[in-house]
Amino acid sequence: MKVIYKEKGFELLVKKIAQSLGSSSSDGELIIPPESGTGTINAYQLQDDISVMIMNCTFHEDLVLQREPNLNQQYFILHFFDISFEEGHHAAPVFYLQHQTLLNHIIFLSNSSFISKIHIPAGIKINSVSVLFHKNIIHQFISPAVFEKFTSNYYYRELHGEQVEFVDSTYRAIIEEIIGEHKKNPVTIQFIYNRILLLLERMLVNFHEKLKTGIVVAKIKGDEVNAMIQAESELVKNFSEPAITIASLSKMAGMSPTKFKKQFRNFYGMPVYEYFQKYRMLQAKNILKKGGHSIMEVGKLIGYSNLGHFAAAFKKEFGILPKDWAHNEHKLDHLK
Amino acid sequence: MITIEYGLSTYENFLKQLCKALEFKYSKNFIKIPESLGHGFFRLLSFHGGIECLIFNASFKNEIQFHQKKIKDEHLIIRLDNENTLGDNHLPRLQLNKTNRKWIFMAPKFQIISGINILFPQETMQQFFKESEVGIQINDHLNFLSSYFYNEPMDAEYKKWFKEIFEMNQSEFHKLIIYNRIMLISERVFLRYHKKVSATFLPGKFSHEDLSRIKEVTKIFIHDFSERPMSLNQLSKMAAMSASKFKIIFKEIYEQPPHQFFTNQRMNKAHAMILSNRYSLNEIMDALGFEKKSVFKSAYEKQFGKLPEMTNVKN
Repeated sequence: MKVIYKEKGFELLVKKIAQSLGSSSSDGELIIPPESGTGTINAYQLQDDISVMIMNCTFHEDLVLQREPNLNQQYFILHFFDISFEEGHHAAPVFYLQHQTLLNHIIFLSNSSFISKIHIPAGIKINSVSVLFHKNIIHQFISPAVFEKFTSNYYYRELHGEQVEFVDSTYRAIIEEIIGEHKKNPVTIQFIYNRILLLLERMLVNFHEKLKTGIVVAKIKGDEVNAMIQAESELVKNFSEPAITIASLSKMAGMSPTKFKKQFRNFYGMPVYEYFQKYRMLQAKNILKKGGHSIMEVGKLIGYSNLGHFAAAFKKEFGILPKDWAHNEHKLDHLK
Repeated sequence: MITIEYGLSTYENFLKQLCKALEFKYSKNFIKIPESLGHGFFRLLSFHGGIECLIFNASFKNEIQFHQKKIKDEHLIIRLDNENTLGDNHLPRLQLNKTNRKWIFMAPKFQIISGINILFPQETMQQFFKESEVGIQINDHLNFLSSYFYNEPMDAEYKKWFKEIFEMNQSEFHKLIIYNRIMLISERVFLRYHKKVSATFLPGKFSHEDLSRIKEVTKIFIHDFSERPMSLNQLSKMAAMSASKFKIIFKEIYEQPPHQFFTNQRMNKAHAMILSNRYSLNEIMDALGFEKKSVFKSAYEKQFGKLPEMTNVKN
């Protein structure tokens, strides 16, 4: 299925997707009809003329979203795609900028004067946040020259088919927070706006660091990127079990352990087990935040049988014991 | 002692007043305290929508009294203490406050004062909150903040953001990073504040109109302490509601009945006047409608546990 659009705000895109599924959207929300897939797509209009689309869904059939250039207005579109593969499906989304194919570009920057296209294969679970913004919001914080340098370098790499930024545990934590909470949060618009700016901050700072140190991930073959993404999702899939060995991960990715370790670092910015540990602690914090579990249970859920070890690891990551953190977070709840 | 008087329309204005009072040259965005006066700095960042962030860490050779006068605009201020501020016995706190309220702060000589203050202009706040029901409620609650303010201890989460702001160096992205931390701090404090007030102050229980009428009436009620306080009947008539309804809503908002509230406000004013060191006891009593010294003294002692003349004595 293909949806071609030119409209600026995401609300109109969601409406178009709904129409092509023979369904309808209301207040920017589309509930995917069961015959087409599962999950929801939401669009929001925020302050400073920022438009946002949040996808948390799976389609039974391939979906192509093609944006036609809009030369009257100038704006940027940034997609953060976090994907997980379901049984039997291994194709990642494919992005196209102008006529260049960008395999698996997981954080994808485009603008209103380019043709851009996203091909979402059937059967993969999409967790994504797409943002449309004007440069004046960025200029509030960053000098035009720095932003110019950022965009031109980013496009240059994209148009040469290079891989630039990947969704790692830090991006994922923010994306998951948006997806999990955007409907429940009492101040939704402000909540989303703050997280969108955090995503932008992380991307700008990260990419700038990479440019400075010269570590911009070089051209990688598409199937290698796929393999890395799969290995990463395998690594963080189940925390209650001990971490999967590098030997089996590298086997899965079809490369030598040395190469795997090196590539992993390139992609995700830190060694495999450090990454595992960091993400596991973020996970623990999220469960604690939601409430309903004792600290002992949370420790067990992320694979610690010894409470003391869990508390020490938590403190190492966040500088505070889990019991103090939880106490603080929930101390107002008993008033209710 | 040096007194710096200012209305907090912006922190830029505050810094200008500070420089003027201490007689040294004002410079935009960053002020270094001259060696002859003390140590440290004040750094100011301004964002769109008039949001300002003041980062400071300073000590003075003189005792300084910061005297923030009431202004008409109701900008919101979030103050976050640094850990070292005001010595080891002072627990760092986060406070919510408004600029239409008087605020006095003493910095003893050689004592480090350190923290981050954030100013949200009234219109910007309204923009933030207009989108959701809870936002409107928060805004309503904050409107009542003129009469009592909210504070909570600095916990690990606040401290983390505080540190990130405080230790941020000038870089290509420092403004964005600081802005994001400010927004996270304010999001958290507003939601926690809302949780706290809505536990006692049930959302949706009273209409927006009732609340704003009571607010208006309360302003008049405590406008002049030299007059006899209005009776409950007069107050409720002015607010166009029954006396019993007025009493119930008033108690929900201010956590005390009208006359006790009047007394507390009156004594707080006495306290502030004494602290300012500019009024004689007779003048204070005149302004607050006390005729007998003994009555005033015992009322004061009942409220603050010490006699008025003991207030300004350093221990």
